[in-house]
Amino acid sequence: MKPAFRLHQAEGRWRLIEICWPFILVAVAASDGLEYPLRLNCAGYPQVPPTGGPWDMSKSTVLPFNRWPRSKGGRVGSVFRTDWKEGTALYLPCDRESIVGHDNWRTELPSKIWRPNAGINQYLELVHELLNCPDYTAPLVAAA
Amino acid sequence: MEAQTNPPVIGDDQNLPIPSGAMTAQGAKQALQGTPTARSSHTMTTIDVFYQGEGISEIAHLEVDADHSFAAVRIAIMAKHGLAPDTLIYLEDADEPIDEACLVHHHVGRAGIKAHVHRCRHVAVSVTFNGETVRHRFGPGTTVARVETWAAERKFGMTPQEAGEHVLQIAGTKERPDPGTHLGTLATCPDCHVAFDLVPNERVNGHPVGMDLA
Repeated sequence: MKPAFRLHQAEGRWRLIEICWPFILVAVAASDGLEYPLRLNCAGYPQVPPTGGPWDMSKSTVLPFNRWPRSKGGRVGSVFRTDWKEGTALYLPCDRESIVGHDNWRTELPSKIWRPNAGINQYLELVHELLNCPDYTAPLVAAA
Repeated sequence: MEAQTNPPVIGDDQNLPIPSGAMTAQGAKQALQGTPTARSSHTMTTIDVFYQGEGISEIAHLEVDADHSFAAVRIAIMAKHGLAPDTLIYLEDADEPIDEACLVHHHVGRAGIKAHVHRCRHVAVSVTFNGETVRHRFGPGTTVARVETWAAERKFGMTPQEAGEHVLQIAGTKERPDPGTHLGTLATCPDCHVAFDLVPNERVNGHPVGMDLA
C-alpha cells in the first residue's frame, strides 16, 4: 500500500472498503464525523483518471441524492452535483467523465487536473478537503 | 457491499515505474495494488514511521521497533536514501530537531510517527497576499497547512472560514502542494527558502446541465 494512502487512512481521512477491480470503494470522512463511500472506476489507472461518486453500499447503487453532502452555496455544491451524469461522477477536473468537454479547466484549474504520479490520493485529497471545508454541511437525511 | 475483514493491498509500489501508453486491466490493477509489502501494524513492538525529506520525492515509510531511538531512525533513513551524514531528523511541525536519544514510542500519534529529514535547520518562508508579503522561519518538517494557517489567520487577519477558502501556491507557478507536504520537500540545502502566494481555492465552474458539451 502506498505510504501516503496508508498514512491518510491511519489519520482517519479515508478508509479502503473493497477492491472489485476496476472498481474500488473508499469511504471519505467529513468534518461532522460522517463518512461518504465513493465508488471509483479505476480502469486504465494510473495514466487514465478514475471516475465515480457517492455510493450506497447496502443497495449497490448511486447514493440517493437526499443523502449527498450539501453546500452553503460554495465549492462543495459545484462538485457534488446531483444534476451531473445522474450522480455517477463528481464534477472535478481529475474525474475521467467530467474532464470531457472542459478543456478550459486545464488552464483555469491546473492543480486539479489528474496527475498520474500522485495517483488516487489526488482524487481523495480533493474530496476530503471539500468535505472538511467551511462550505460543507450535512445531508438532508442521515445514512440508514 | 460489506467491508472485507482483510482488504486487499492497494496502492502503487514506489519502485514501479509509471507505465506509458495503454495498459491491460491486469497491468493497471497491478499498478494500483503494487508489489505486496509487509503489512505494517502498530503493535506493541513495532511502530510505523511516515517521513518526508530533502531529496525524497513523496511520503515514505519505515517500520521500527518501539524501543528504537530517533538516532537509529535517522541512520536507517539515511542508509535507505543515501543521505548526507549531516542530515537532521524532526517531528512534523516541530521547529527544532528532535533529541535523538528519545525513544520512538514516546512520540507515537494516531498514525505512528510523522517525521522529516533534512540538512537545513530552518526554511525561510515568505507568503504574499494582496501585494503584502510576510516572512518567517520554520522547521523543515513544518506542513504547508501550518504555514497557511499562520499566514492567513495570524498575519493577514482572516477568519478560519476565510482561511479555509484559500491555499498556498508556490510563487511563480501554479503548483499547490498538498496541505500535508513538509516545507523541506520544497527546499534544498543550502537554498533553504520557499516563496508562496496565498490564493483563493477556486470553485469548479462549468455550464448548467444542458449546456455542457459532455
